[in-house]
Amino acid sequence: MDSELFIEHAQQGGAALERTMRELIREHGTLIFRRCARDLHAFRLGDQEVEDCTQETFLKVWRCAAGFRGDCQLLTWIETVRRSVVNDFRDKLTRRQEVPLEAPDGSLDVGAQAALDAAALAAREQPIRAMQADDVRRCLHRQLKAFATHYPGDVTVLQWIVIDEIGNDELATLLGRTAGATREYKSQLMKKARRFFDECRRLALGES
Amino acid sequence: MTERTPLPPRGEDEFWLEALRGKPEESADAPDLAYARMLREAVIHNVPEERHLRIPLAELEARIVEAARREGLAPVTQPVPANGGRRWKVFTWLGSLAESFLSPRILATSLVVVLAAGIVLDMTLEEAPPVVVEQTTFRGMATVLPPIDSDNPAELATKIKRALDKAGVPARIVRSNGVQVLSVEVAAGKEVEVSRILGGKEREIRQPGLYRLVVRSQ
Repeated sequence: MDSELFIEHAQQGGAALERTMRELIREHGTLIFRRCARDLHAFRLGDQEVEDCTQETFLKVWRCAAGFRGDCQLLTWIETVRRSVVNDFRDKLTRRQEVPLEAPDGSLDVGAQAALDAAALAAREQPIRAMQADDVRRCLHRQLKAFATHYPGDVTVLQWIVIDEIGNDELATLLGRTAGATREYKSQLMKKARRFFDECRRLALGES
Repeated sequence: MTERTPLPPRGEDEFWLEALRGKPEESADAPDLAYARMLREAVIHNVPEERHLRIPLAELEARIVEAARREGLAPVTQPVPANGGRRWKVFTWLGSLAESFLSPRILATSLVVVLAAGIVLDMTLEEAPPVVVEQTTFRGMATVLPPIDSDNPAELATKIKRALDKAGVPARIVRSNGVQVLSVEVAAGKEVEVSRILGGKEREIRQPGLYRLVVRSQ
C-alpha cells in the first residue's frame, strides 16, 4: 500500500481508515503472522496465541495510524510496531515461564544446572576434534535449544539482533530502556549465553 | 518515541553483538571471529519453519475489525465494500438514517417541527358539530328519532314532556349544548299514542323501547 494514501486515510479516520486497515490486513496478515510465530517460537505457543499477536499488531497500527508521518516505508513502520507488540508478549510470557539461572546466593538453578550437565555429557561422549566445524555446529545447535528452553524471551531478542540486524537504538526503544539499561540487558544476555555456549567456544578454539 | 543517544562500543559485549549481527570487528582475532560466525549460523539455522495461518485471512480480518469496533477505533456502520450488493447498500443506508436520527440536534429539530405542525393543524381545523345530533344510536340501545326544529326548543320539549306524562309515558329532558334531548320510555300498547304526541308519521313508534328525540333551534 502507498504510504501517502495510508496517511491520508489515517487522518480521515472512520470508514476510510477501516477500508485501509482491511486492505493492510489482507496484504500483510500472513507475513505478520509468520513473523510473530518466528519471534515467539521458543515459547511453543499455539496458533491462537500467535493469531492474538497478529491481531494486536494490527490493532496497534490502527491506534497509532495518525502518528505515521511517512519517515520510512509503511511496512518498515508496521514491522517496528509488530516488534513492540512481540516484546510485550515476550515480557508477559517470560514472567510466566522463565526461571532464573541463578539463585540469590549465586548458585545455579537446579533445572539450568541439569541442562548444562546434560549438554556437557553429550559433548564428552563425542570424540573431540578441535576446530571441526560440524562438531562445533552440533554443539551450538544443542546448546541453543537448551538456552531456548530456559530463556525463550532472550531467543527472541537474539533473533532480532542476528536475523533482523536491529540497531542499538531500536533495541533500546523496543525494550523501553535507557542506553545504560540496554547495555546492562545485553551484558546479562551475554552472561547467560556464555554459560551455555562456552563449551562450544572452547571446542571451536581447540581448548577442550 | 524519545530519541536516544547511540550506545558507544563497549568491550567484549559489544563485540559479541556486532559479531552476531554479522559485522565482526576487523581487530578481532581469528578463532573468536570463527566462533561468533558459528553462533550466528546456529541462530539462523534454528529459525523455525514457517507457520501458516490455520484460519482464512478473511476470518482474521473480520476478527480484527470486530475488536477495533469494540475498542471504538472503527465506526459502527460499516463502509460499503467494493462488491457490496443492492440489498446491503439499502440496509446500510437505513442504518445511517437511523443513526443520524440519534443525533441530539436532529432530535430537537424534529420535536420543534412536530409541535409547530400540531399547532397549525389545531388552528385550521373547524369545530366539529355536536355529536349528539348526528348520532343514530345512544348507549343503552335507545332509538334516535328524527329531530324537531323549533323557535323555542325548551318550551316545545317541556310541552311534549307534559303530554307524555299525561299519557302515562315516562320521559325526561336533558339539556346539552343548547339542544333539548327527550328520553322516552315507551311501554307496550303506548306506541300509537306516543307517535301522535311526537308528530305523526315522521316519528312513528312501532314497538316498545327507549327513544330519544332532539329538539333544536331552527
